[in-house]
Amino acid sequence: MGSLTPVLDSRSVGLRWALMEPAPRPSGRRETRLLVITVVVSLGMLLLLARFRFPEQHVEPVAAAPPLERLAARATYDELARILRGVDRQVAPAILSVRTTLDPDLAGAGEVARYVPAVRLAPDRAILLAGARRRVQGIAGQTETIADVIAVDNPRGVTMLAVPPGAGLPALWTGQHAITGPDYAAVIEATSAGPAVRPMYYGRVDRVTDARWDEPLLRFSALQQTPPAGSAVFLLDGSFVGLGIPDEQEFLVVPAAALLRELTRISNSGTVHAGDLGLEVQPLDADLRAVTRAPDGVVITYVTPDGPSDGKLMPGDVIRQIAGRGVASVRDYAAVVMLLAPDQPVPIQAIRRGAPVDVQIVPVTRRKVAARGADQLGLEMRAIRGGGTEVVRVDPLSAASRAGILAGDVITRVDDVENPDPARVAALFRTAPSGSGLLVGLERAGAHVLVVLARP
Amino acid sequence: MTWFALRTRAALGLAPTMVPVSLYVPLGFVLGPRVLNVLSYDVLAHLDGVVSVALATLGVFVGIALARQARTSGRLIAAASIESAMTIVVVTSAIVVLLLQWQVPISGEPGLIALVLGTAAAASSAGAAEAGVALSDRLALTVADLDDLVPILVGAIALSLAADGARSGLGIALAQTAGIGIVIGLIGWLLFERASGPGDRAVYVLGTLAMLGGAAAYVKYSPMLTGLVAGAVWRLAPSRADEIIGADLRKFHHPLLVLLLIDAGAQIGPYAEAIWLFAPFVVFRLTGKIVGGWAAARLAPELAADALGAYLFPPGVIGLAVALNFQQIEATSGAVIVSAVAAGAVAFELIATLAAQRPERTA
Repeated sequence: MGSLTPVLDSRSVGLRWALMEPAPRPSGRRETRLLVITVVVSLGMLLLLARFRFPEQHVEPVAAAPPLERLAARATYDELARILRGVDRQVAPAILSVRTTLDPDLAGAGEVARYVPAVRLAPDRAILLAGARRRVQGIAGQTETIADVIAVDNPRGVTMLAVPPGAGLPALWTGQHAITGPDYAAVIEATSAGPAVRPMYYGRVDRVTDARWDEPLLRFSALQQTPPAGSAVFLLDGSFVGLGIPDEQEFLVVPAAALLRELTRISNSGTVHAGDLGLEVQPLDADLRAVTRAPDGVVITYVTPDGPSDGKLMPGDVIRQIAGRGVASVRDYAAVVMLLAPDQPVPIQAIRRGAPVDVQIVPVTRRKVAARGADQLGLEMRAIRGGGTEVVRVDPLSAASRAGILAGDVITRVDDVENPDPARVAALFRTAPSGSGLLVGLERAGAHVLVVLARP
Repeated sequence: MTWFALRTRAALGLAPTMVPVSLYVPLGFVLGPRVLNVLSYDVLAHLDGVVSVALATLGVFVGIALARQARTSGRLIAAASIESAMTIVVVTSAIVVLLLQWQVPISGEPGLIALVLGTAAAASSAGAAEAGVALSDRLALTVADLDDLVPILVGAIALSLAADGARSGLGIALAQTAGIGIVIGLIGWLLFERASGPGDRAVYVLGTLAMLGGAAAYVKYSPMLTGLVAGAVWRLAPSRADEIIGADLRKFHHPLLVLLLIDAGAQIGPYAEAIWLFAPFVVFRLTGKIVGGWAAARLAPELAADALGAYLFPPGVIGLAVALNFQQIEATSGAVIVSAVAAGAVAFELIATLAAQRPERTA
């Protein structure tokens, strides 16, 4: 049994091995001694090596392009959904869903809550673009928690929140790799149940300047569907591009780097108030340009009574410059005005029927302008034959606007009075005790609505 | 060139190894983007698909070999699996401790990185057994040949974790990987049986391998595991599918291995993290192989633990394959791991060349 054919096929080794006698082997003691020495030396090496420290910081992982990507047919909806699931999983720890409501001091009440995503840009700080007219209420989740607002930059519509410390900061898009399109991005929008991701097709991306921000914004065009205000935009590799600006006609995104700088700025400065001139404006079209004889600017449509511009400017005036900065569009006007420091006089260059008008106006905070209109009913009404009153116009920032009454509503009841005429509605408001509220019944688009008309 | 290298080694009285890692990996580095740029990043990206097919081919060879030996050499397979499992445990444990202590800025979870390095360390390269060598040496070579099963399985687990972190769905991912192997294996078996001539058959073989590698890579599973399962299917299925594919693949076997080695060499970069990981990879692979050899000898008393350890030192191409496969999923840490493993493989081949004795002849 001990003698074996010298030439063995390796595949028959097992069979031969099963038949053979055990070969002479070194003593078990020597093997064990070798093993013990090896283990001891290795443990010594481990302890020695563990004393060193690598001198650099953590880096974010970069997922590789899947193998065969260049060879395989791709871009199916299933594939897109799979990529979005990956992005969602990757960025979920960095996103919060924040409930906001319209600030009743700045706009009409009655609008339902809107959820806006907040992005964690520091371990214990998150930032969101809710807009200057909205107030942060709470953070959505299984049970809503109260949002801890640290500071608000009203001109830029930025709110900074304190959040429970955590990891999961998103990798930031630095602009090194240009975004051009056509392509897809992942948009995180906020819902009452938490953040949700969806794809966003864009045809092109351009850089546009905005007076409120130090660096160009990204304008995403040719979108299949415009994302909700304040949405967070990510590339499909999970890097954070920025946040969408609310209340804009176009989908403009503030880049991540600018948001990071903003976070530092308002961490140091605290809340920044937005200035207001108490004016409403609209673009200057060809007809208005001919009548006003102004080559450019924005035309004033409304001057808030008792506001900072009351008695100095009037509807029909065309504003061309504010504090030395040209105003070519309504967006320019909004950006420049919001950045004005309250209580500091600013020179305004306007044109009235072709003649230049230079005035000095002292801006106030938006809240003060709102407070000035709040004690007025602010309704233009007409009686309806057979009873009731139809609302023709609602003054902005007035008590009616704050109550959520809209032009076209039919007032069917005020407290116990059914189908009041316009004079009766005005009298009821005027005679209501200060601090009380009138229960107003409205008929709106065939449905009946109740609102509270507050008497400041 | 392979023949020349093996002849040279044999003439010097050194143990021959199957693939001269120390020749092709440095060659790949020289041809790669950091030296001559013949294999530029773009070329390497386009080679991804071929690498996936090469990985599947490796798996097929291992699957056929294991299925052949399963009936007669069950204890040797068990001993080899214990040896490679012990190596994985030793290397993974040591490197996870060091990664946590060092705070190396490598992306990914330290446990996963350590597991991939441990898996890459576990495989050994069996030398071609010469006529007349002692049976204990032949058995040691066989153990070194059969220790690829565990690295391929653990490598597939690591790949699934890296691909989407779906720890809860790990079993499903592995089952799907095996399922792909079974289905494509059965498809291949049916095709081979119906081939009208050698030309048709070669096309079917290549097509089947492309499907194995491509399907697994596309869904980010392990091509080696799909290949292993398909290889086992071909061996266990009635008829001669394993012999057919073995005969046809013999033409492509070495070119594909050389491609893998050159690709791995081209991927080597001067990463500080790789340099840090190189030393523990070498040290603890040595420890793992000695401990693993000792453990294997407990199961198979005919094996001499110290001699077995020496036979286990030569690096297996499977180790490099695991690292390359991981890099396809996780680029940043994958590049570091490939660099460390490739450099470690060269170092180990040099160690094995110096340490290994020419197998003792019995007659």
